[in-house]
Amino acid sequence: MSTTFERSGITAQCVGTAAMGRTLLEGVSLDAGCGEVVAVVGPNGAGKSTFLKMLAGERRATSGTISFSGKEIGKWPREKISQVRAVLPQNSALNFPFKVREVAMLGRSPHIRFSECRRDREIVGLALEKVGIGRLAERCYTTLSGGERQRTHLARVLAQIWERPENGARYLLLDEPTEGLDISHQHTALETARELASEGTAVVAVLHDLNLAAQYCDKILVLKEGRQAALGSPRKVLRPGIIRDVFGVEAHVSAHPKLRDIPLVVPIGAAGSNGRGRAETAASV
Amino acid sequence: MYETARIRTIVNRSGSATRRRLGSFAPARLLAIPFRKPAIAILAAVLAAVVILAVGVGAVQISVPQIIAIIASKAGITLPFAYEAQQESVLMAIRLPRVLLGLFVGAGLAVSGALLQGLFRNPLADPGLLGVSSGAAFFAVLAIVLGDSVSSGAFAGYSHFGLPFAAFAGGSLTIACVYLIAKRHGSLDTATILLAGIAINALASAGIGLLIFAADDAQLRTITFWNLGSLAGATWQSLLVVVPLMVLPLLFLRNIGRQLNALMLGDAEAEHLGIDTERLKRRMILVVGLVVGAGVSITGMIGFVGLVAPHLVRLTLGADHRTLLPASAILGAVLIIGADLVGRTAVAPAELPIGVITAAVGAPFFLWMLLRKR
Repeated sequence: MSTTFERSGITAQCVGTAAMGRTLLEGVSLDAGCGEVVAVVGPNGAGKSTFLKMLAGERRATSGTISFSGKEIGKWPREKISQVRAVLPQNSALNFPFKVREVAMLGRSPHIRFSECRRDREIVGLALEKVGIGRLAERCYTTLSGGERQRTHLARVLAQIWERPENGARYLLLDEPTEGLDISHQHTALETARELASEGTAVVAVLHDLNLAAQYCDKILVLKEGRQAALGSPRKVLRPGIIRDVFGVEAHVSAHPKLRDIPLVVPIGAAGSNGRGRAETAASV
Repeated sequence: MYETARIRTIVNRSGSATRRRLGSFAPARLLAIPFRKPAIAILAAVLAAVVILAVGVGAVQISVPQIIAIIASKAGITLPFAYEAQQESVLMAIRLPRVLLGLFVGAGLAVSGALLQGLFRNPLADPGLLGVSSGAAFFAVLAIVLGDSVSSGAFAGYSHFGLPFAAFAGGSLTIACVYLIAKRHGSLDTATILLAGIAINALASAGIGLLIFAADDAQLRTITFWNLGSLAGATWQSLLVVVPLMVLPLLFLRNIGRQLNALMLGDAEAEHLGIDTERLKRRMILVVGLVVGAGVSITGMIGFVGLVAPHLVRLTLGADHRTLLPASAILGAVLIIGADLVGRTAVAPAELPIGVITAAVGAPFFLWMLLRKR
């Protein structure tokens, strides 16, 4: 990888943060280059969302540095970074009768000075189509199902960084983007992230599904109890030993039967239990 | 919205690369903003009709040509419509200031309500929540009860302004308290603002209760009427004091609609969209404090308009604050002027307090909205 490529991504160096005297995160380093999709995985309470919040600038790092395109996060003016970095939250508080199109249009806010122009409307239309809710554009947001709401917000963040800036990279931070989506839309969502990455976006996504992470991400950052447990390619990271240590789950990892170079994780059960569910264990795993 | 889009595309038919830069200076765009939706134009027409009605109707009837002739005569133009001197004095000294006060107070209360509903992300918030009106009420009651002893001293010459001045000071003091409490942990926390407002509300009520306990019969009557609200205190002098206090803060709200829309997603989400939420909240609190404080200082407490006007607009025109704020302002003015018109004609020559009418109409309406929701 060229140096310019590295410089234009997201860099977190040995970052940590604490709240009320308790260390939430410590010594986490990550390098998400433009064009890369990085998954952050880990058990509940491992600090995945905290890490994403630090990348999003919501939480200040008490140690270490975070930079975008080689420029420290605190030195970015609010307006400038909002034009190139979009953040999908885990859940949203919106409970006013906005139309779906209006919610997605909010993503264009950083680019609008007075009133939206035709290009903004085009982008919103395309973003809604992209996540498959173009037909819901005029529907009231509050009447949508959970999955449809999630996709509305996905469309909003896509609209925010739809256009490639003249000189610079784009960043997409996703906190559980597949939460509440059916299988088909889980894949569409991550395919969209992949597509953005191929256009030079650095994507960091908190994911729970290890197989989705393996299939769509270049790197996986594994967190456990606020510390970095592993970082590397899916093949390097998704090993039975690591999965047992971090998640406390016995898992069988094999090569994906259909997709080349992608590991397939099949959880067997909680570590220590015999974890057979209804079935007798077939042969030896 | 489509109307303005069409105008804009006609104006900026030149290349798409230059459109955005040129577009922001195009006069059509600037003109188009207040008329984002035809509904706002319709509301404005209704307001004009209500204003003319309210100015003309009462114990002394004044026809539309007469109204025009009287106002024109003030500008030195003589129109061929005959009117009596009594009509002129009623219009200029009583009706016009009263209707104008209603216009500004109604608009101010409704905009404040819309802002707070946005700030708290709760469509049931109302300007009373911040404690401004009860803080103002406490000081007003204080001025009424202690007024006799105070006005003989330093404030002797200002007794006319004493009550509004005290009320405004009380409102400002309350907003300052709420702000400082909510700011204590570094950033303005919406939940703390709400809780601080509720606590101060309760404290002010306790103070008012104590003062009522100490008040004599005449003072009690004044307190009761102040609490029910009235536009009868309108004079040109009071307008001169109150209107700048209400209108100037609103100038801070330029471009606030889109920012408020983004704030509806949540504080963090709005920050990610490039909005300084801290500054936005601070501006909103100060504006609401000034507008409500100034309004309440002259009219006393007028309930429900700040709650109902934005709610009604949201039900019909949607939640987009760029439409919601101007439309609420107009509707609030219509409601207050309308309620005042009913109040002073329904049981003429006596006058019903305006707060009675807004609450009598507002509360059932509010209940209907609540029941309809489920």
